Amino acid sequence: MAHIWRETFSNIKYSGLVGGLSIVVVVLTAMMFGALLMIANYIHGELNVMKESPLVVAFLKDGLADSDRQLIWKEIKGLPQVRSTKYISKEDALRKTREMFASRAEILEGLEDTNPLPSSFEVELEPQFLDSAKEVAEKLKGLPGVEDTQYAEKTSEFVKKIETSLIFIGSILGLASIVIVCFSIMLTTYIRREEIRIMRLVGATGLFIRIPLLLQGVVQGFLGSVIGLAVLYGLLNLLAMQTGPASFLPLRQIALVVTGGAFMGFIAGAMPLRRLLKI
Amino acid sequence: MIQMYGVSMRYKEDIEVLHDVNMLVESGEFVFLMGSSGAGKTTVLRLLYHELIPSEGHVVVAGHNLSRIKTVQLPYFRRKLGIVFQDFKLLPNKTVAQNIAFPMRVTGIKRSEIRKNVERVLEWTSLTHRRNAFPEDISGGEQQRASIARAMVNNPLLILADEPTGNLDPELSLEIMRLFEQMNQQGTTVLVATHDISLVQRMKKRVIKLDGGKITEG
Repeated sequence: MAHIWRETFSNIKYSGLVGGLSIVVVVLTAMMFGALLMIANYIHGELNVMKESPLVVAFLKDGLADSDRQLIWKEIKGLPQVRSTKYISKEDALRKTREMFASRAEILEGLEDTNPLPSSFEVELEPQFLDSAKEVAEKLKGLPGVEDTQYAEKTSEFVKKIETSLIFIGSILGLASIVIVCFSIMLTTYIRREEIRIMRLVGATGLFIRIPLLLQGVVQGFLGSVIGLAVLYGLLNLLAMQTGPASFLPLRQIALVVTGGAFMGFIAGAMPLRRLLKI
Repeated sequence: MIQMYGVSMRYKEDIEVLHDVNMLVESGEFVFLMGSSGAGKTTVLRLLYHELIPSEGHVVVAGHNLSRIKTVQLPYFRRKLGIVFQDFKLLPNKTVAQNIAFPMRVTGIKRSEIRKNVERVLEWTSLTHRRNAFPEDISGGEQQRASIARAMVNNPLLILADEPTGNLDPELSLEIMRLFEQMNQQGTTVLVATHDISLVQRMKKRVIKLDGGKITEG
């Protein structure tokens, strides 16, 4: 076992410029991927706030009986796209409006007696049905007792677009990272093909050659991603001094980047060996 | 020790580098494989250490029929051989002593025994003072002696040397040949591929001549 680690670190030490560059590539890729995750986390947080705001509002006719209101409420709850429903009475609507215009309270003076604001149901949709806001709004408009509906068309489309874009960009960058890291580590092994040939010719078994080279890939991937995330953390702290506190990646995502780096190193170390060990 | 029966070797479809080669080298012999550049000497050696597989014919080395040898058996077969290359092929990231120790290390021999054997061959090749130097820091003659020491450290049954004096002056070439002769006197079979006719004449050993991929003498 001691031989394996000695051989692994000797390989890294003498892998020269290409070995050093491949670690730099892993460092930069880990930084880029970490930054992307941080941006995704931030956008995801913002989207959650958007998702939680009601997307469809059904305004009720004035003077509706409690039983009719109950019927509408049941109809809304029965729709598969609906996550939750909240009843806003005329009084609640006025109170909310007062809160919104707190600085211009005089505008709303005297409205208590002739409150013109309608009662309504605020409807929150399930996340997977965010693009169904229009459809739900039209259904609700057809219900007896519903005066009109409003839905956040732009919000639902925006949320959907952002999520699709994030998945798309993440997939491309993720794939690019895998290819770049794999190729740079493969190159470290490939430039040593003559050494591997000598090892074979003096009687080294496949395993004797393979294990240190695989470990070299794992160590390069691991070290590169740890250094990359550490640099990113440092940069984030520097930035936070200018702009205020910013949150780094959660532990689960740090583990994901580091394990991913080590795993890619393993795969990249294994790929060129199949051919080189055929001698 | 070496038997080749009807061996032909073709690269791609139509480039034939060896044609119907039959060769026999007995245990304990010292033989020169002579021929000009491109005669097929290196191909013969590569067939003997099974880096190449013949297009036709059979090769038997140290009791192993190489047509039937399995990949897992190959390292154990090669440990019976000592290979010396014209361009030395020392591992650049290892010192002279580490290079010489390498064939023993891969066999999992005890460290104390490795050290003893390395000291023995370092002394024998007059490289003790260069033990901690890296290959790029020593002369061509010293590199070739180090590669001979590496080939010898495992006490192989057969030494295969491919143009071992190709880059050396006549004085050093003779010195290297003396080392091979000493190994042979200890019982190791030696096959040296060379194009240096004057060296062959001075050594007065059996010669197998190769010309255009065919055996013409020996």
